[in-house]
Amino acid sequence: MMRKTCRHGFSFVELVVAITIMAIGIMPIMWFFSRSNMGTIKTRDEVYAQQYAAELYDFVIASGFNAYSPTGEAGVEVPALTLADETISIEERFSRRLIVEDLAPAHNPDWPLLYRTVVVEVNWIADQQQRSLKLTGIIHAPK
Amino acid sequence: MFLFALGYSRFLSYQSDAADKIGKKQKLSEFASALATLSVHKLKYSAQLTNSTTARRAWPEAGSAMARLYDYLSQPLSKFESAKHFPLPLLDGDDTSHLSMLLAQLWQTAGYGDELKEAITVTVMRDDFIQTGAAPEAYTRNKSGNLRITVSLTIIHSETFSTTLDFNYSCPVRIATAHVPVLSKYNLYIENARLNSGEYDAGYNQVSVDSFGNFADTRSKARALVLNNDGNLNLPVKLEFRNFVEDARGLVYLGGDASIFLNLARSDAVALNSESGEGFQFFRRLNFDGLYPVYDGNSAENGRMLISFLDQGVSDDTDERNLSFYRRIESGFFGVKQVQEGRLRYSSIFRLFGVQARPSPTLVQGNILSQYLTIAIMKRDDGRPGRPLYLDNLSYSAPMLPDAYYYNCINLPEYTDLQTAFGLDNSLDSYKQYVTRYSSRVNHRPYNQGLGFMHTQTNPDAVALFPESDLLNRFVTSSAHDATHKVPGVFAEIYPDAADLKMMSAFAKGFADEAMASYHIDNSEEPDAMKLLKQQGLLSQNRLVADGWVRFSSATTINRRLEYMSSAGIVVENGDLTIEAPVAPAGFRDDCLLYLVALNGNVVFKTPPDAKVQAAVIAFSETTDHGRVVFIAPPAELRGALAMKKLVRNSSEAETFQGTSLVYFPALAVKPAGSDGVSQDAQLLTFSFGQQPQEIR
Repeated sequence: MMRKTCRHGFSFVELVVAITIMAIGIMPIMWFFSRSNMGTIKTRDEVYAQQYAAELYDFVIASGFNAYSPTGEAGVEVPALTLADETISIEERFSRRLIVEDLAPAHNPDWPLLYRTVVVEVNWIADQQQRSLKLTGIIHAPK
Repeated sequence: MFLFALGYSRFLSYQSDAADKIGKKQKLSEFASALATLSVHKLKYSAQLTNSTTARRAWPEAGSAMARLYDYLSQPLSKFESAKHFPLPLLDGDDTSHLSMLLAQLWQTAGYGDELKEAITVTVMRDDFIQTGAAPEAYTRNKSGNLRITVSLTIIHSETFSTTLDFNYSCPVRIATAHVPVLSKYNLYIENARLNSGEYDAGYNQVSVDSFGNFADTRSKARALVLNNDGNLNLPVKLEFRNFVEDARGLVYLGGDASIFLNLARSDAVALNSESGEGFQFFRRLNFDGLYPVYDGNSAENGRMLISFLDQGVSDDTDERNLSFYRRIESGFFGVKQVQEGRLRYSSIFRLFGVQARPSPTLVQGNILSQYLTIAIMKRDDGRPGRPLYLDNLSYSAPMLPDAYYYNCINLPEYTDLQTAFGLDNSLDSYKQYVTRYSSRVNHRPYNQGLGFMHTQTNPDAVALFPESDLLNRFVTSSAHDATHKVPGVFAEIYPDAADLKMMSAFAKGFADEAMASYHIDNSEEPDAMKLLKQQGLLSQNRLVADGWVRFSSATTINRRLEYMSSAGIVVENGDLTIEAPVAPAGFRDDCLLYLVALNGNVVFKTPPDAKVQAAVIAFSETTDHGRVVFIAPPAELRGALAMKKLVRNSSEAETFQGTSLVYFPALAVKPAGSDGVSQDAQLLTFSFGQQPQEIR
């Protein structure tokens, strides 16, 4: 009589089944990771955009009322700033626009100050979507 | 792994949310900053630009939210609560249309609609303020500190869901009065009014008037400084010292270490509104008779005799009306000498009590005497002339000895009534008695004695009106007593270390303290004050919107008409402050006052002759070369007050002095706080807000 031998291990089928199950389990996780990375990139771009916008906004405010003439509604593109011989550029994926406009020029003639609105708009594409960030403030000077 | 992935995903999601929130907050932050800036500008300028016929000064519209804030801020610091909140809607009060236009455009530019609402709150915290001012115990409203401004932005997501973000800012504010403790109480203060070092100082007597008491401009280069000491309030003469101190009346101080003799200008009964005469300072009956009996005696031949005096001011007119007075005095050597040395043909450059057309009583401090002509007349009891009628000056001049002529005059038949009625003969003693008691002469008296005649001109005894127990009696009876130079009454407690008025520097903290200035302008390269003020945003259409004290480092000139929108001060640290144009409050702001101060220089007026200046002026210097108010071309009227080290340096300068009308600004007379700790100087308060709010993160 033949003695039955006990064989340990998985059969090929078992292995395929196991891998399939694992793949099915890992896929959403990978998808999670993938989406998360997209989110991270989006967050990074948001932070960059904020930084680019704030950088130009602060520069314009610090430059004073007369440093920038009214630009009209279309504004001007400002991809780089030069500060103390150092030029700081934004990444090519971004565009940055400055819009300066006189604020209510016909207001009270006795009011001793003039106002302008300063708008900095940063645009970029993230996840195949057009994204935009806009900072709005005012700047003033004696009449 | 799944759990790990889930956790990691959530972490990244939070990170993304945080970045998104930071982005949104930054976006709103700049917008909130713009609103905070507009709020501060509203605080800073709205009140100044509000035209109010009732407030007559820079004050927000009555009942507005800002008026409540101003009311609160104007209180003494001790009355502040630990924290008090004031909503400050941007669209509130008079400037609604102006700010609404700004806001609408700002909203549109930022791309917001009704989904964003703003609410602005100003918080005043007592601990954010300190009390300031030269005399904080006496004038209790001065303070400086910071306002906290909260801009709340609410994003309305739906009818039931909204998010509110608060942005906090601080704004410096300085609340200071346009007032200088003690000095402001004086319409005219001159630290050292002496023109020479001798005993007899008559150098101010330089102004010609005609026999009617009108200014004789063809004979005189000098023009008088005419004082109106109550800003046309027409305050009457009262008989107690405290009335002068506590009324809204400017006092006068002419300092110096010896007597100053000021000749009173002649005026005449037929010219009751003379523009330069000072006849109101003499006794006159209702019928304008100015004779008052002084001595009586009995003549052997004609019965009772009365020797009466008639006091009259001086004039260099050559008509008989005037010359007849001088003839009685210049009949003696000493009379001639007195007229010459006392410059008795010319009135002084001061009209301290105003002029005949508009008397203006006040208290004059300093060793000041008024000088005038006294004519002696002798009449019988029934009014008929005695013998002689006029008691001429028969004096001799030392070292000459009186010769027989004078002795014999008294012994002549024309003097018989005098001899018998008053027991005189041709002895030396009789002669001396005649000269010193009975004859016509140049006379003088404490300047304040004129107050008696201003009170009751028909009472010849000016002194008797004033109760002996009252300090005013001493001012009326003497020009040199222990209160002559003292800081008067309630004002004496303001500076415990400054007991008298002799040193202007004792009051310097009130006008020289750097800490009271809201703006410092270095103008060493540019003397044009108007240009610099404009550059600082303190000038709008030639209107000063400083609402506080502005300090210039160097000499400066106001060369174009300057209107101020609120009370304020302009201080020049080194050099002259030159005024070449009218300086006045803008319309509806008559209760505002500008202080013009030179700390180490002169205040020089070179204005057009019809210019009016409403300003209190202080010229100070630690040296003797400066600290003068110089009227090269004076304005037609100076409404405010004058305080200086010196007006003119010698009689030569007095000879060409160009005076003006000096009208006191009554609000300057404000008394120090009483037991309630509240001083009544709110009218002159200035509110100086910073122009740019600082974010508190």
